Amino acid sequence: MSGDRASIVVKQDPGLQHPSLLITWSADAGRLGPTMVDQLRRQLQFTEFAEIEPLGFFPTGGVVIDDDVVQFPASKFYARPGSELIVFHSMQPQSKLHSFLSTVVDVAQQFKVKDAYIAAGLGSRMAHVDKRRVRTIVNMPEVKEQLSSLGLDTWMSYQGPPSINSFFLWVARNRSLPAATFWGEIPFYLSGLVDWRGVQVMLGAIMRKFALELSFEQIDREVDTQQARLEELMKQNLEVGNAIGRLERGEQLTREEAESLARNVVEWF
Amino acid sequence: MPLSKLVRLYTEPQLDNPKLIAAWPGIGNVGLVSINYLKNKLGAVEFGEIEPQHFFAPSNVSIENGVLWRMEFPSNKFYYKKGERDLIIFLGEMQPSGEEEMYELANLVLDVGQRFGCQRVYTAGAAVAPIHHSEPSGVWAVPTSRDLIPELKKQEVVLMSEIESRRGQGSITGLNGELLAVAGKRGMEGVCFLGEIPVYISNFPVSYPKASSAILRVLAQDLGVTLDLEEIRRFAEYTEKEIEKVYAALPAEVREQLDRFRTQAESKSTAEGGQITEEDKDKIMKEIDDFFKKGDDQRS
Repeated sequence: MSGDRASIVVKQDPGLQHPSLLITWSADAGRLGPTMVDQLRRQLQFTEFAEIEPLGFFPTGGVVIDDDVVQFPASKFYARPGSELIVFHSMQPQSKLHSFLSTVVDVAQQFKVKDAYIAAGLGSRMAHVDKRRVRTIVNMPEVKEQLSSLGLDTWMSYQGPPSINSFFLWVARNRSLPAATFWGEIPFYLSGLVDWRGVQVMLGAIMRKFALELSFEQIDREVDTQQARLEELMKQNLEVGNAIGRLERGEQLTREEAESLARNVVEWF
Repeated sequence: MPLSKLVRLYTEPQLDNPKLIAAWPGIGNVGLVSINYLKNKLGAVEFGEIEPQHFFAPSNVSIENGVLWRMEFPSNKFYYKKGERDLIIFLGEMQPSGEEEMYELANLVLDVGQRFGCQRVYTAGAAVAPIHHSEPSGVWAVPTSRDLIPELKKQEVVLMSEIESRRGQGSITGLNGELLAVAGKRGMEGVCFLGEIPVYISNFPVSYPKASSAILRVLAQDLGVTLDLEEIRRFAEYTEKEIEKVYAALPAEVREQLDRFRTQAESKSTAEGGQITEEDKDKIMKEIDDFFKKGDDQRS
């Protein structure tokens, strides 16, 4: 193993043959990651079977509070008998990133994972009524071919500082593990909230990819409620209505306008 | 699972779904004073400890006639109380300085708690706030899960989202926070109660029993135990009088600045001018520091 010493705790063997690994992060635009994991655990009873110990990867000497609640660094693996899928949900580590990601691959290889996927939110300059794409980046060309039937956007180009997701793709490639990131577009002004539309689209893609049986009843209701509240805000606050209208028309907002819009939306919700 | 060799239990009391309450030194010793008071008033009995030498340097040595007799370390002890509500109380005289040691200690405390069936832990500490020492101390509550919020809202507590400048965010340093993090990771419930201490008192090496008393009121209610708070109330009154003496001796311009904390509380709901900014607070703290430094220079 190439991870740090004694950093993996395995509570039980889920008994899977050749599963896929789905990775999500707890700090995620539109709270995509935590909301999706919550749905998988509630609906399909995915249960925890292993975790990575936080020492060395996360600061331990206190805690951060967010949304009124203690946030604790947890990096856990979940599985469900009969489903060839392992879900890994974690805070993003603050130090020793390569070691942490290598440890994730160590666990993947220990449980004979055949491929890995990251589902993440991508804050975008768009309106909430615009069509949401799921943009995909792969670490090996053959993975792109395998994903072609899912209706995903596989032509993204980017040059600049990498995210932890790209770092993972690189680490996985070096360990011969095929992997891809699914980036779900999230209107930037919904980045700090649960973007239910984003969750709906991403879970739909995950459901198709892994042949999961999921009910979208609650999610559809939340989407409708959120859309209605946003429409109400746009009517009550002309500044917000004007800004979102301009985004719908494909226009750019200034930085100040974008910040003001995000602030207004968060306060509204 | 057997306990670590670092844990020594003198006895294993039969406890029914106990709650675990832990405290360590911190600002104003708010948490330690409140939980130590709870332990004493309930007559909780010592039943174990964590070996301190693994975590701390010795605090005292006794040598007689050239012979070393004793080495003392900061204590880390467990107490239990059977009654209206079974409790395990942990009091640590000191916090380890290293993050790894803090993490290890938090895990050992919870190992003991879980051995006796604890599902919930409490910690207590200080919330440094822009209040005046003549005002009552509020209590902030930080849970490990949103599921606990409805229960907490039945008490007179404040959530981080209800504090204007915080917007639901903050931090709890040291083991008061670390224990909750580790508890949450283990699937246990946890709450930290933080008693408000005036920002200008937070740097002084004094206890602030007004905040400890406020925490005890809330904690006793949450635990469902009856607790006589008369003694700590008197201690708080005494401390306030001592603070007033120092306050009266401050230069008028410093007192005038500090009085703004009083008027800020009165105008809280109207959000008029008189709101104290971070810059104001830094300026006030510097003036107080300068005042006490001048006093030290004159004395030396």
